[in-house]
Amino acid sequence: MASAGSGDEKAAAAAMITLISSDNEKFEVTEATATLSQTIRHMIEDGCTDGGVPLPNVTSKILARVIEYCKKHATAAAGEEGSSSSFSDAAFLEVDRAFLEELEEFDDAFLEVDRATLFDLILAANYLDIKGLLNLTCQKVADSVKGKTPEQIREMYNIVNDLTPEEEAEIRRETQWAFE
Amino acid sequence: MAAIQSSSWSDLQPELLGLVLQRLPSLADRVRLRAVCRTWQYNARLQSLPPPLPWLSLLDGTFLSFPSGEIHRMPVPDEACCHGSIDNWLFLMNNDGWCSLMNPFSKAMLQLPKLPTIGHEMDNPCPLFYKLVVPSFLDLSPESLVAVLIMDGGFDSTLCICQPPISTDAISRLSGDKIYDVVFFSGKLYALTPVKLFLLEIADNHKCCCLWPGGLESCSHCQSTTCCNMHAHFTLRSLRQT
Repeated sequence: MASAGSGDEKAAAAAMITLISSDNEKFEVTEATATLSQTIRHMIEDGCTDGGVPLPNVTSKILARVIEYCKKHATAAAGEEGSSSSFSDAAFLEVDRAFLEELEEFDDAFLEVDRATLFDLILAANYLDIKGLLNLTCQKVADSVKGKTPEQIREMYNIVNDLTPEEEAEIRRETQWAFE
Repeated sequence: MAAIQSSSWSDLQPELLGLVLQRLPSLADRVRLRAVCRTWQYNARLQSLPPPLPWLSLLDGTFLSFPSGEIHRMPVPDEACCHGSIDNWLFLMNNDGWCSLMNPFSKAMLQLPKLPTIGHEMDNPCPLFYKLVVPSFLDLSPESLVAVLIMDGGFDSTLCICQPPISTDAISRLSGDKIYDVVFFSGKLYALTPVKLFLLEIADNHKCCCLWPGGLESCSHCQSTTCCNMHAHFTLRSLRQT
């Protein structure tokens, strides 16, 4: 799992940042990957990343997934920038579309996780302030509850119904139309 | 590897629940998500959300929700029938002919006058179609004028100007032509006949007088921005929830 941060040989010249998970696992990533997180970007700007960045709210399991996401999206962003000058407009659009399609496929596969992991990814994306990942994960939740009844949503997300029968009756009375 | 993060979805932070709600354009989905547990019920109320997508008001009194295509039925008082909507308000007609507007979410009521019967209503099985227009959002200005265009399936239509609860004026023809459609645009009332666009002024006594068309070209030739904007308004007027 720790290998998630070590395979980036060609970026050896680039500045590397060490991220430390709550269970003390170290991940070495490029600055370009790390700065997809606004939280880490601010730490780098403030010069407080020497000796590694401790992330006490993120387990190694989740951090590895988050880094996987950031690497892919950082590479895509760099690829787009690099390609813009060397292609004609039409070729550029083609490359652009290919990038976006690949990225979309990556995102779809990335979201194939159980509900508990999805929950932890949302918390991590929020804590690390990674806008793209937060959008992606929240959209996944929104899409999964569309057209579902409260009972189906509870079942899907393992939530205990703690509303009293009276409270439930009141909700139904006020918004009966939404439950027909 | 210690999993120190708790995975209880009911504990989702309010702002994160808000991010999910923001991604639900359908009001019904938002209502059902709120009803999952007490924490979500409470936390959802703290979020300011973009307005949900409007519903399309159907002729049978039901509402079509986008993008799910769900059909909603809003409860109306006994002996009343829903014949259309304006903003968040349903246009109801009682068996005895009295009309009212009702906000089905707040249950507020606004009394309207008895509207005139038009055409050969008695021997015409075609239902009448009512289009209501107001100069500004009705929830914010309940004292507002309401203009009602009543159309039958054939050749007749009548435009009624109301200052609820009374009717102040009614027009059936403009320069001899049937009124096809009406709209408030920038606070002014416009009416469309088969050939012309009219600007109607509502005087202090709430009587209607026609300012246009003076030198206005036939509407079929009119390509002006105003005309295009109006068509946009004509085609999309539906129920919206705050």
